Amino acid sequence: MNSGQDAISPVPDGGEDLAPVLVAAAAGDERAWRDLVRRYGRRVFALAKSRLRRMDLAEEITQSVFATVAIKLRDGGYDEQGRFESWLFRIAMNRIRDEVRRTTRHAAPMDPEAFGRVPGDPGRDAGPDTNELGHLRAALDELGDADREVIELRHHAEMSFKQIAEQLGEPMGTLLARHHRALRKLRAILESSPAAGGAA
Amino acid sequence: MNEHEDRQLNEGLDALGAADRAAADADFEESIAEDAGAMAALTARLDALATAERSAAPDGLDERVLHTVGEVFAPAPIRFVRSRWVIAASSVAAAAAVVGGVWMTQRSAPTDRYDIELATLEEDVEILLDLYETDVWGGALAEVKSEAERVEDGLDTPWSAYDDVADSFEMGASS
Repeated sequence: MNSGQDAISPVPDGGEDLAPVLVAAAAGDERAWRDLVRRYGRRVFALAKSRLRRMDLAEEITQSVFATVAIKLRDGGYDEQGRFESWLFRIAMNRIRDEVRRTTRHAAPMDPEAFGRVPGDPGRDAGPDTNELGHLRAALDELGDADREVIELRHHAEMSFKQIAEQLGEPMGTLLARHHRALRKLRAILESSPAAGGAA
Repeated sequence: MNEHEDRQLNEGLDALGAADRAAADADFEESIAEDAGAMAALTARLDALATAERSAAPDGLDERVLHTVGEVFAPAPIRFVRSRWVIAASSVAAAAAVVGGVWMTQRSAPTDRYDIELATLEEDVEILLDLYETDVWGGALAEVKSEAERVEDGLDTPWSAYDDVADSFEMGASS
């Protein structure tokens, strides 16, 4: 990657227009990539981590997503003007779905998390969830894929409803109703869970 | 029931109905408010969970991602960092190549032609061993498959030559 001092300066922050960053990134500009990774790296990681519950797989998927994005940008394969975020998270969701399918095919005979953290295994997530967030994680696991996807895209990936609607190809009203329904289901799961103490 | 009583009854029912409707409306509004409050609380908990997941990202994640991206733009072929699949596939292919090469050197008289074939095999093995330490993203998988096929193709000629030699030995022994 080139240092890109001429290609883009300075790299814009936050919600500013991504177009110049993407142009620079397509040319291999390191600063542009730093900006993209800073904006989206952890969000992709959180999305993968929430679904797969494994740090190592979440990192692998994060790297894979950015490698794919880099290749597409480099080769001119990105043509969704103004919808970079939806595009990136669509790639991420596809990778995650693939991994879920793969791990389902090669399902372990037991849930390792239910048996606690394996000492010296840094790839494994924390052991039995006994805290509040743990209950929430467990409740998310009980949701159907479609409901869970909407919630995770909204909260873990921090996407706007508009972006999620674009990504899933649904009208905004439908998407909002889906999100609300998913929250209701999650709440019902939490309330029915004795570990959660019925508090939603 | 006369007309007056009938009217009184209807008025009473209307009043009762109005009271029921008002009570039902109040209950509904209350439940909506409760629902909104519970949903807001749940949303806040989900946001907290998502923040925790993002914060749990391992140290150096950004740098490793940048390194991977850098490889995409590097002039040299992409080198990756980890892959059990690639390691397994390249190990099998490399092992097959090594065994085939050693077998050939032991079982047949070396000739210039064999030297050339073995040199090709050595190159393949080198590439595969190189890939052994690399990772899976993007085209590496295809690269490994391609290399494995090359090794397989490369073995065809030595195997064929070996068969010829073995046949000639058998023919010599029988004659």
